[in-house]
Amino acid sequence: MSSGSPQVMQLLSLLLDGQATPEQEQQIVELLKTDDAAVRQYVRVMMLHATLQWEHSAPLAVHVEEASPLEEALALEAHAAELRARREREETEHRRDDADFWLKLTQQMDEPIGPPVRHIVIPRTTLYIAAMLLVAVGLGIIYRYWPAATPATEPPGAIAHQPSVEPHVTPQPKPEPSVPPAPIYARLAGACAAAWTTDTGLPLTLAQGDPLPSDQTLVLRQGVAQLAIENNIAVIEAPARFTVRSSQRLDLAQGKVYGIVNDTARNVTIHTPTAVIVDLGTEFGVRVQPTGESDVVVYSGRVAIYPGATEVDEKTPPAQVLEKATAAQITHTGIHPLEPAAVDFLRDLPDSYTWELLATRPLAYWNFADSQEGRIANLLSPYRMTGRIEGAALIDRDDAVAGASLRLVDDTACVVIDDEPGMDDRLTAYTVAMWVKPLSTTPQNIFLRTHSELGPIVRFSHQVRIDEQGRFAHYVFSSVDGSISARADNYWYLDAPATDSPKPGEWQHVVISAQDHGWIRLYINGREQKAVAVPGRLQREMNQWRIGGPSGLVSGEQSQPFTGWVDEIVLYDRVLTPAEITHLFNISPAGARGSNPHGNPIGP
Amino acid sequence: MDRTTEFVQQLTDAQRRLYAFILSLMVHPDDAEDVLQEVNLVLWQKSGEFQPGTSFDAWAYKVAHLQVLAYRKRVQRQRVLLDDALLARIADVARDEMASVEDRRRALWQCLQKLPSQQREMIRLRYSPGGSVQAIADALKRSVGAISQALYRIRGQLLECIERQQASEGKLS
Repeated sequence: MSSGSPQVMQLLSLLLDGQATPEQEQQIVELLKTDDAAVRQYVRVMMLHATLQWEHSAPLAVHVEEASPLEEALALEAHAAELRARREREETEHRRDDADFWLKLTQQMDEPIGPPVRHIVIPRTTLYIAAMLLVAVGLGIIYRYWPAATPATEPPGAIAHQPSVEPHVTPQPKPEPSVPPAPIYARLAGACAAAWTTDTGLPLTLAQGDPLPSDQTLVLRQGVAQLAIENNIAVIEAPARFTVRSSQRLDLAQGKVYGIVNDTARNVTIHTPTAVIVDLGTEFGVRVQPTGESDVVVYSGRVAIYPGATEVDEKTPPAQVLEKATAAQITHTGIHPLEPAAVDFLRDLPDSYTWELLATRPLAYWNFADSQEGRIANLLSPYRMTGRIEGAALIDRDDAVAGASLRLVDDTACVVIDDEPGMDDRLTAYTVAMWVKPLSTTPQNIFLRTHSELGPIVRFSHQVRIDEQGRFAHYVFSSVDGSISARADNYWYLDAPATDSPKPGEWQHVVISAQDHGWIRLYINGREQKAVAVPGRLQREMNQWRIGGPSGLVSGEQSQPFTGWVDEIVLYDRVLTPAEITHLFNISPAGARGSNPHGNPIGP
Repeated sequence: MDRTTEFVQQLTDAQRRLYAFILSLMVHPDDAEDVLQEVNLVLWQKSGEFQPGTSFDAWAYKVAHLQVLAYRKRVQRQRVLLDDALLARIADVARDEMASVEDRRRALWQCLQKLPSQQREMIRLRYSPGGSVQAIADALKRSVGAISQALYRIRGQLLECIERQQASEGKLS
């Protein structure tokens, strides 16, 4: 593989370094005029040069952490005035043929861009928005630091503060050579469905490999990100607010961090609102809740806890040392015991399928691959909604749509998922998608929204089931006055069955959706089956989901508990469109293996 | 996502590509930074003219090309190496090549890790703020010619490495 002509490369290298003689510059020009390959090589060399320049340059003078939007706007206004003044000076020098020049320029474009910005008077409101834009753009430029190929040194035990910067966007004059480049301690090693902002809410775009600015608070609003902090790894789950202070210190104001510390020679500390947590060579997770409480779970090695501390040194004894497979919660009042299973941490980035699925922004997602010890983990959700296995339910890693599935072995098998507070009010609309592999077509309850104390036979319920005719169905039952009564005038129900019977022993994609005063719908393998109008509110007095479980009534008949497999259960607090449901089907490994669903939707 | 947010994101995403495009036309980094700032302002002023669904980059490159020409016209403090015709020729090629900037940047990151530490340090010294061949020569007590030759070799190695990475990922045109 060749990177082009060595002669061209050498000339260009001299040009970039300001070392080319006039004759060599002329040689370059002649080559570029006559040789297409030389032009392409020139562009690629310039791309390399630009990238290195970008990565190493000093940051633009942008301050976002403390400046208010108004201050930013005023700063931009000052900058705009400076630009205008500069251009007016330049304009005076080159006024004579300026009009002709701009006429010629604008004629080259499909859309005229008009005169240069020196003639533009920017109103304050525009400046406000422009300030946000330019600060965001400036932040992109901030990341032009030297990559961590050469680790930066830091004072032992000290926080590496960057010098303060001017509160406006302006081209930064080149500092003296003696000024070292700003230290970079962390890079974005990868991300999944990640949305970033600054601490002041300005959107940020970070790509894989980008350095993260030190001492800048970043907000991961959604998704998951993996950071490489020298030799150590941190997996951060949204919503999270954090600051990389140094290669050994990360401040976590909110969110979840799973840390893998490979560099055992130096301790790594996580600073939270209630504690300093010092790694002693380990894998551990820290969750900081919005109220500030810090949950710590140790997976290997040990972790030292200093409650209420802001700084620690080697001489200070920790209040507690957590060993492997233990956990603790640190509040403002002290350290409290915690079950290690109380907090789930994502330990790695999801695969591409999961990435695509999470990009659809579900409220909750249970894929069973991260399940352990009687728990069904909900991935990357702001809600806990961890399921607990009851009876003979197994995680099956040999037969799954992706990774692992849940196998309900017999009529004792059930998974119960409790709501977070307020979920019932939130779910005025919902969509639940899942893959199901039944063993038979006898009437069965597969998935149920219900009330914890009443079980599946309730005043209100939403079900995915196989009905008495052996069809998948989306079924909703509601008592009129809230009482349990068999009187026909005291309840109503909605039934949206599938056209065809399910195929026992085969994975099938089942999706239900519903909305207050809207429709309940059922989709099988991406195709809509049936829609039924909803006469009123759907959600009342429900607080949990059940997968499988005790038998219930199907059209007045006692149903059998579901036995078979379920996988990839995804919950949304909105009604997905048919296109989104088809997308869900297509992106899964099972959907990709099957045929592409198509056909006209049934119903309104 | 509202239109303003989408526009800001597109503009933010395009910064590296725009800078590389402008530098290809300007050669000098200081000039390129100035023009990039101006291009950002013009793009923002013209944001209402951008049609969602069309190529943001194509539009931005067009504006950048014109801003480069305007800048050269306005700031005649230095000799222009590339005439307008050659600039247009380079811009045509650069527009195509810029699509791979992000891939090449990722490849560069990996290639830098493969360099011997002395060569990495040389690149760091050259591209850190204020870095120059003369400053490196002074710091390392070597001749300017030796440093120029070393940088030429390192850049060649990095380009080779990037091309290999691109080829192995099937991204080389």
